[in-house]
Formats: sequence, C-alpha cells, structure tokens
Amino acid sequence: MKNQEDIRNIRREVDMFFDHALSKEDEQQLLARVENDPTYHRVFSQEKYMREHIKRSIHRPGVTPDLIKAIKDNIRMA
Amino acid sequence: MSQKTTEHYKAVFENELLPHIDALKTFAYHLTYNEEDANDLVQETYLKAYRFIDKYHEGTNAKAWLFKILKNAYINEYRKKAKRPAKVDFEEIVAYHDTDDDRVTGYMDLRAEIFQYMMGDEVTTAINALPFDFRTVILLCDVEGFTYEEIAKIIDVPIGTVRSRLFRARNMLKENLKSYAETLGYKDYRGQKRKLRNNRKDEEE
Repeated sequence: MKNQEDIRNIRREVDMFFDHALSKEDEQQLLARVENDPTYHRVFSQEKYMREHIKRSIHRPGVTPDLIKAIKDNIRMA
Repeated sequence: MSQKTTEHYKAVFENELLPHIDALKTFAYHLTYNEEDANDLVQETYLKAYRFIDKYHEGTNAKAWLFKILKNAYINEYRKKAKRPAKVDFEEIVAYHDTDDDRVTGYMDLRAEIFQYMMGDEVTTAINALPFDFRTVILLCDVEGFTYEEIAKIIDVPIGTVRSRLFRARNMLKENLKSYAETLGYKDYRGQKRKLRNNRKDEEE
C-alpha cells in the first residue's frame, strides 16, 4: 500500500518522464514499473491522457499567406 | 549585420526562422487572446529577429530564440494594452512565492473519464484563464515541448522556478478543467464511500 508521499514521488517522476527530464536509464526503469505496478500504471495513463488531450485540443489559429507575405515584404525593405 | 551578405542572412531567415511561424502564432494567440494582436506580435518578432540576425548562431536553437524575442516583445508592448485586465497583483504574489519546492501542495488528480464531458474548446479556455506566468510555462512545455533548460532561458528564471511553476500551472489547469466538466454534469465520487463509512461510524458512536 503506497502512502501519499509515495504517490507524490511517482507523479513527480511521471511528470519528468513526459517533460523529457529523465535520463534514458531512468526512463527505462520508469516504463518497467509502469508495466508491473498498478499505481505507476494509473498515474502514467492519467498523465499521458491529459497531455495528449491538451496537445490535441488547444486552439491553433494557423498562419495566413498574407502574414507571411507581410513579414517577407518588411524584411525586403529592411 | 556585418561581414556576411544580406542574401546570406535572408537565406538563414527563410530556412531557419520562418519554419517556426505556426508555433509562434499559437503562442502569440494564447498570450494576446486575439488573432489580430497575435499577427502583429508575430510580425514584430520576426522583424526584431531579422534586425539582430547577426547575433543568432546558425544551426542552433532558432525556435527557442524566437520564442524569447516574442515573449519579451509581448511583455514590453502588448501586455500593457491587453484587452483582458491583467491579474498583476495575483501574479506578483505568485512570483514572490515561486520556490524550487513542489511539495507545498498536493498533486491535483484528474481522471480520464472527465474528458468525456469535454467538447473541444475547454482546454483553450482553461489555459487562457491561467495567469500569464503559468500560462507561459504550460504553452512552452506541454504544447511546444521545450525542455526545462530551454524554458528557463526563454523566460529568464532558474530551472527550479520553471519546475515549480509547471507543477502549480498543471494543478490549476486540472482544477479549471474539472470545474468545467462539473458544470456539464461530471461528478467525482472518489472518497465518497470512505466519507459515508466515517459518517456512519460517527453516528454509531
């Protein structure tokens, strides 16, 4: 049974994994724990889903050809 | 601009800087809250970048360099005329309390099922509702994938502060998303059984 502190540490580790802040070795260790430990698996899945949802759903307004043309025109004049 | 030819710099501009325009526009949009200001901010960023292109080291991190220019341009000019009132007092308090320690508050836990209640715009609304300092780190890390080190350089704070801001920002974002889902009917039943058990126990005693 994991206590609050254990879970907080797992979450910190999972955050660092998704932030690409773990070493390759630590990443592999974390992935092995995710496979074998239900708490790691739950925390990892929730965070993965959350991150993917943010990336997928955030509004990306796009760039019009007019904006690119305006920038290039200004550069030409500079 | 000195030794190298103008043609050379224009090629660097075209090949290394312009490809990041979509990411810059998304960042600018979530800082200014509107498309017109975002376009102006992106345009100004590129003009500044071109003006100082001799300071840019070719083949290095053009994206991080451009994001830093955009963030500074926003703070210096656009933030003053932002259409939404800036939450200056709150942000100042938050900045004052920035620490390297993310143990001060617990992690906000968000269940995957909560996302069934979301239709699409709520992530944008929830991110835009965050104070500037927190919105910035979420956009740089979770949306653009910058490392802690790159973010620290872009926003001029120590890496420990980046980590603590991200920790708080993610908790705030999850709170916002949870509140949004609750208005649409989501209920979090976790802890309810324990609460019920404790209430019964109290009554029996």
